[in-house]
Amino acid sequence: MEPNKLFTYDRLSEFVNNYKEFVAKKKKEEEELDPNLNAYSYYHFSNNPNGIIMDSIGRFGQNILSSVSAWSPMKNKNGIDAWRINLARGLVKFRENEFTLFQTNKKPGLDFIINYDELPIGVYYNTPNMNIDQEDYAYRTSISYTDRGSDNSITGTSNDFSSLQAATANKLGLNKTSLLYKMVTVDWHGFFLAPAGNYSITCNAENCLFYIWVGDNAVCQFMNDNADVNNNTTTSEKFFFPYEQFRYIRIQIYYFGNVQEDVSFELVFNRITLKNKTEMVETISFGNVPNTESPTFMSNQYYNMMSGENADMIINTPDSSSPSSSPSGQSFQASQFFCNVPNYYPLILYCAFVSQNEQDFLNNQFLCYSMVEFQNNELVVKDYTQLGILYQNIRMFMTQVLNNDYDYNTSNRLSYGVLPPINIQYTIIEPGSSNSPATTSTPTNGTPFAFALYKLNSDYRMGKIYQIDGVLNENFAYPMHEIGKDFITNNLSYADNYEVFPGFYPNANAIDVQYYNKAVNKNELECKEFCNNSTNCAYYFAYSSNGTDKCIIDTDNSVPVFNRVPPSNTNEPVDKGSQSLYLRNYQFDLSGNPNKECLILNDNVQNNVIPIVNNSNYSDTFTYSNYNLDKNMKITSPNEMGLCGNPEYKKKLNEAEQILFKDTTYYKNGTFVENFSNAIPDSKYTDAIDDTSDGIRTNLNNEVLYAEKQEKINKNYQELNNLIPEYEETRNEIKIKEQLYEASQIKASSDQKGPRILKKKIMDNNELYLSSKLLFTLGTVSVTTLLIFAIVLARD
Amino acid sequence: MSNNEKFDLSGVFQVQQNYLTDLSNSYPNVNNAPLIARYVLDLQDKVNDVTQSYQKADTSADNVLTEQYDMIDIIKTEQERIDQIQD
Repeated sequence: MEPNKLFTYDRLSEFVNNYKEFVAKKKKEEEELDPNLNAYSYYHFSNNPNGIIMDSIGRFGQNILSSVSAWSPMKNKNGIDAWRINLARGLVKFRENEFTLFQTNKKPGLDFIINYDELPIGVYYNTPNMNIDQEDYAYRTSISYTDRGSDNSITGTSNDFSSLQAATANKLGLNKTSLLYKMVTVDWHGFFLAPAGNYSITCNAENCLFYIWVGDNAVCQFMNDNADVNNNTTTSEKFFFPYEQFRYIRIQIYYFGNVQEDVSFELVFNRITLKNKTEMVETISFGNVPNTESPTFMSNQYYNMMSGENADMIINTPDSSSPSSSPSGQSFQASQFFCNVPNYYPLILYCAFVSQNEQDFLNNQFLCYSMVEFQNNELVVKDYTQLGILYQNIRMFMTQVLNNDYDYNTSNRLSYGVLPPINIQYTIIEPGSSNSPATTSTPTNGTPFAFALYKLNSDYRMGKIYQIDGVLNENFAYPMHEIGKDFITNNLSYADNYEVFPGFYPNANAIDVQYYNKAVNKNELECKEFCNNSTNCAYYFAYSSNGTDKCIIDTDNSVPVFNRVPPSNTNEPVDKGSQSLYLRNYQFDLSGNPNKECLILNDNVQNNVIPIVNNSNYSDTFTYSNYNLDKNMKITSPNEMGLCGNPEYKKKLNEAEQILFKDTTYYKNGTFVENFSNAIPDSKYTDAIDDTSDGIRTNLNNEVLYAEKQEKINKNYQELNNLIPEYEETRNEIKIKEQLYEASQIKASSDQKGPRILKKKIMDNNELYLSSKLLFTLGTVSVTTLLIFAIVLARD
Repeated sequence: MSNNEKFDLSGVFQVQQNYLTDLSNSYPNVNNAPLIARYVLDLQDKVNDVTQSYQKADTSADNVLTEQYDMIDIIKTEQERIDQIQD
């Protein structure tokens, strides 16, 4: 029998035990989650107005914007809701391209401008005390003036804010005499590029006035009352970066030239993280100052979230959130936050809606003025140089705009109107004006008296499907991973359930007489059934027209425009308040999926499908409103979904593959090394599959050997079956013969039950002896008798 | 012939065959590796069980064979002896 040692057994057994523990742990985590949360959830952030942020900036006189040649209406006219959706969707894609553009062209450091402005003769010490906006210094400081003298408007780049001299690349004037009676101002501007996380900025400064703006305001809406950091608030609120992104930053300081030696200025960045249930602050300084980390207070919000069983649920491992999101460590320097992108500006999508005439207004047709246009269905900036000029103009006139200087036209009529259903302002081209570009001398020529300017922004997640982890990571955020488009196309299907969006109208062309067949007489339930039976129906509208239920379904897998303005001039008008949009949810079918085990472990599986719900809540009330995106990691296959894509699980997957399929040298005592070696005789170079196959083959060989033995046993058995009867026959024959010699008397006097051969011989001898003796006696007697008889005869 | 309940190999080979079939079906999707690992470990347990069963059965068979050979030897010797006696 061959020995059958499974060399891989110990390693395999240990792995399986660890894997079972891992699975049990994940199940426990799932059970301990808040009932409202799932370990993994899937949401489709639908293209709807909730994902669009529209901030009214104010009314700008047309001369402010029309002097920028690229400020012009986009092609075609549309309803305002449609413009919003189209721009927002375009902006999502634009942001992706913009990020790549900036990454490609970025240079280290922030650009700065140093200016010296004359002050009246006097004595100026300590910190300047002035209303910067009133003096408009904030704007003047941010631009280069060439008329201030040769020593003015000094520009440079710096990424070291450990001191004023370092931050100005040692370009500050040092001539004390020339600095007397001068207001020295420095404006730094560029990008704050940070990985996902929570940050704050602290400014330590003396004898100067300082302001820091981060975000869109820093581009051209920077005012002293909206600064994130100033002399009164030396540390900013937390800036949350849900993903790595470029945010504009502007820093300004003001001081009197005659006290320049006493001015100190230093920036420090803080990164707030959650480690081992403790909120930590990592201080990231400039220069050679090492980063430090210390605990802070624990906020009630997170304390409550972490209390009880969920206290262990915080993910602190970097690989469970954005892999590139941790700037912690000695190697990360504060200077790495700053960069500039020459010749490019960040796009702040300012736009204004203008009605060209009364008929257009009645038809809900508006022009949309902006600095962008659609080219091949992609949003692009018309001209970056012009964009810079637009930003400069906006900032130049911000004070007037905030004073509502352009709210009334020359006829003292309100220069703008408001569309009631959506509360969006619009302006109209003044009657009698032409479309020729306006000039500063003819401020209202050809265009509206003013533009009601909006800043439009869209949520980066809009239109995308995300997997959301139900456990907070070290950034106090829920990690989200985008589901790739190919994955959506190949693996997702429509569900038979819908999200309802009340109040949205179908397009006018869907209910107009010329497209009359698009609307059918069905109630909501019939309409739903109608859509369910279509493979190309992404949504349907249900409404009533003159009391009759109407239904319009999508037939092209398209995205609705989320129109909230009632279509006009239709033969079958929509009854007010009856209209609703039903957006069809997606689902991921698990039937026959080979990864079912890891998918069903923690995913929210219902009836063998993972639901993917349309979400229109982009606000803080959304369960997973704090989120982190890892734009580098998209889910492109079911293998990356849920627990299947968990880094820890993947590690185990790799380990299992190694054990199963990678040849390794195993020793008898269960140890192993992952290389080939045949030097040690009691080792085996194999993997678990081959090892098991060998074990099975050995057993099969042993089966043959065992069968041979069984055959021998059978053969012996047959032989014994022959031998024993033969022996018995012979013995019986002997026995019968022996009975012939048996003497009963001997037998009776014997202690033995049967005759014995030796005894029989003795008995025979004895009998022979006795017979011979008797015969001799008889003979002697006979001879004697005869002799006596002869003698008698002879005497006679 | 009784084996005195020392071993029972019934169905073992079918079990092995079934596992091998399952295993070969799982090969195309390596993403099931942890699951396969569990199958393989289960299979290795079965293989070990079978090996132990064979070892026990082999010992029993050896004992039976030894006794059989002894018996045959005794009978043959005795047969020869009584054959001589008979002669």
